[in-house]
This record gives sequence, structure tokens and C-alpha cells, in this order.
Amino acid sequence: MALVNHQTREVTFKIVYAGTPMSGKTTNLSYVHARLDAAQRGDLVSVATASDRTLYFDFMPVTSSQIGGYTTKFALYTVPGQVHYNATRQLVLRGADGLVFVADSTASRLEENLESARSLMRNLTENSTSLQHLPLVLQYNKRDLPEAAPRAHLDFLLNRPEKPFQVFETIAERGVNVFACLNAVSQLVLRQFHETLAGGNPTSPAPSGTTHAGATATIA
Amino acid sequence: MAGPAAMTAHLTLTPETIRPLLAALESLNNEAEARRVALLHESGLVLAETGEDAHQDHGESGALAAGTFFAACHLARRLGEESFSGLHYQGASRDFLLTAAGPEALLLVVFDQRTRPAIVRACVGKYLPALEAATARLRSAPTQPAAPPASWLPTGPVFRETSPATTDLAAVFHT
Ligand SMILES: Nc1nc2c(ncn2[C@@H]2O[C@H](COP(=O)(O)OP(=O)(O)O)[C@@H](O)[C@H]2O)c(=O)[nH]1
Ligand SMILES: [Mg+2]
Repeated sequence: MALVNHQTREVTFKIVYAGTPMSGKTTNLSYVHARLDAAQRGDLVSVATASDRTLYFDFMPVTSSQIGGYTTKFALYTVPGQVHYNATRQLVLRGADGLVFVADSTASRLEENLESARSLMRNLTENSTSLQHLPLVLQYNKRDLPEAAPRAHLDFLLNRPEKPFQVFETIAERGVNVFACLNAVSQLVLRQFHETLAGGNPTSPAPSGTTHAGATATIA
Repeated sequence: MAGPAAMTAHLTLTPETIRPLLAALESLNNEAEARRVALLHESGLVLAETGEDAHQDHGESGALAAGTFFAACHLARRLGEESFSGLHYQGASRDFLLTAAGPEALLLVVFDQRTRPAIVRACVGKYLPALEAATARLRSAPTQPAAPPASWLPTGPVFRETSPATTDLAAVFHT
């Protein structure tokens, strides 16, 4: 649900990083906070426990350059992945315009990724949202780990819809592909918005590499 | 709170729809002698705000206020409270009141010792109907006056990564 303010000429979107507990969602936001021009971002607000686990959410407002004569803002959120935070997740997902699903590549955590993805789908259904109108990109994080599962295993578990999601193989801790992933989901959100305004008819072709199903960014 | 329609449609603020909203917020702020009055969407977005403490951040307070409201709402329900309508935090230098404003908006009122909670609550009660009506109008406003420009689709990356801030002063001065 975008907020369009014609008075201030601003449009605000909400992007939520969801996914497996401890997969690196907060690390993504921290990296963006560290590497985005200070004029383009607000504070990274974390509602965390004393031990730094995300309790409720992380939040960071970011601003892109002008698009279509409007200042485009994105409210970036992370949601806690733990099963018992289901209600919280449900609330933070409200009004989301785009999603990043962060999976943990650790071989021993594949099952948890799947459980987490299923739980997210349930949350979306309960919010009367479907991925048909809500752009999602997949992030396979922690590719640096020697015990990382092969990409094909993660794809087999998480990426077998008719139209596969874009996948980003990341090392969030070092920032590898973190911006590529954020840019991809932002592009998809803007494109979806554009299509909604145009009444479902995109008036110009997709920028290459951004909406092509299954497009990937791999790490060398 | 919000139904399916609210999940997909966009909210639009135009000079026409924002005027009654701001007018009600300003009257409430003045009469209650509050420091900040903000109308938030339940997703945490700030729809409009006014007051001397307003516009201090980029939406961080809105996100936290929405989180606080729903966390308190769930806690109240767990504790056996059937109808939760809001909460009042009493601090040393600032109080705040969070209350539902219609099906998908929240009202945040920040105040201090210049006024009293009872006065603030009375003023909120007085202006809530006007705020709810003005919020409902945001849904019916046309999303965009004209057809969307193709320029809505950015050609380059939306965000650019900067290099890490250098803390090595010697390196800075020798470049
Ligand atoms: N090896 C490795 N560890 C990572 C990476 N990204 C995050 N982590 C670590 O994973 C743990 C959980 O990260 P966090 O961002 O808090 O996860 P969240 O629960 O999804 O928010 C932390 O100890 C991070 O340092 C990565 O790319 N590689
Ligand atoms: Mg976290």
C-alpha cells in the first residue's frame, strides 16, 4: 500500500525483510545503513532484546532520488522469524509493497527455511495478500560458510513456483549483493506501482535484468 | 483492522484531502495544548502531523508508535480486556496517548505538563470523528490526477552503495 502525497510530492512504500530466524535480516539493514549516503536514510531503529535478537522489528526509512518528479521513500522493516512471533509478523507485514525472503544457506538449516517460508505464506493469506500482486525476491545468505548448501538445494526447496523468484546469493555480513537485492525489490515495487496506476497495463518495457523471472546475482 | 481492499489500494493525499485532516489535527493540538499530534496509518506510515515537536524524524516514531499500539492491544487482549481502544504513557517530561482513529488509522498525541491528560482525552474525543471522516476520504481520492509518467520506472539502481567512511585521517589529508 503506497502512500502518495501530492502536496509534498512524496511516495512512500514499505518493504519487509522476512525469513528464517538468524538468517541475516538485521545484518542487511545494518549494511544498508552503513553504506547509504547519510542524507538518504534515517535512523536504524531496532526493537530488540538485550541480547540483540529482534523482538518486534527493525525499521529504517530510506529515500531514493526523485522518480517521476516525486521523492520516493521506502520504509524498510525486518520481522522476527521465530514461530512464536507469528502475530508480530502478521502486523509488520500489513501494508507491505514488497518482500525479501532471507534464507540461511547453512546446510543444517534448510528445513527451518522451508518452515519459515510456509509460515510467511500463511501470514500473507491471513492478511488477504497474495504474491500475485506483492513482489518478492529471494536471498540466500551466508554463502561464505563452508557448510553452505548448494544453490540447487535451496532452489529446490524455496523456488519452484511457475514463475521463479529472483534470487540473490549474499554475504550480508560483508555486504556482498545486499544493495543488488534491495535495488531489485525496489525496482519491482516501483514497477508494480506503475502498473497499478496504469490500470494493470505496463506502458514501457521492463528495465533489463530487473523483472526477468529467475534473474540472479551470484557471487564469484 | 483493515480489510482486503485496504491491503492493495494506495492511500492518496492531495491538497484537498489533506486540508481537513491538518485542520482537525491543528485544532486538536492547539486546544489540547499538546506538543505533537500525528495521524498514522496502521502500517506505521505518518499520514499527517503538526505541532512544535512534529517533523523531527523520518518516520521512526510512526513505526514505533504503530508497533507499540498493536503490542499493547495484543497484551490487553491476553489479559482479558475485550475492547482495547488505546493507551496512555506517562513519562517524566513527555506523555503520549495512542488511540485508534477509524478502521485503519491511529492517532498519536504527545504532550507535557502544560496540559492535563483529561483535557487531552476530551479534545481527542471531540476531534476524532472529523479525523476519521477525513481519513476515509483518502481512500476515495483519485490516486493520480493524470496518467502515470513512464519515468516512474527508474533506469539505474534505486540506491547506490557508497564506499566505507574512512576513519584514517592521514589518508584523508594526503589525498
Ligand atoms: N557467516 C555469515 N554470518 C552472517 C552473515 N550474515 C549475517 N550473519 C550472522 O548471522 C547472525 C544472525 O544475523 P541477524 O542479522 O541478527 O539475523 P536475523 O535474525 O535474521 O535478523 C549474526 O551473528 C550475523 O553476524 C553472512 O553473510 N555470513
Ligand atoms: Mg533480526
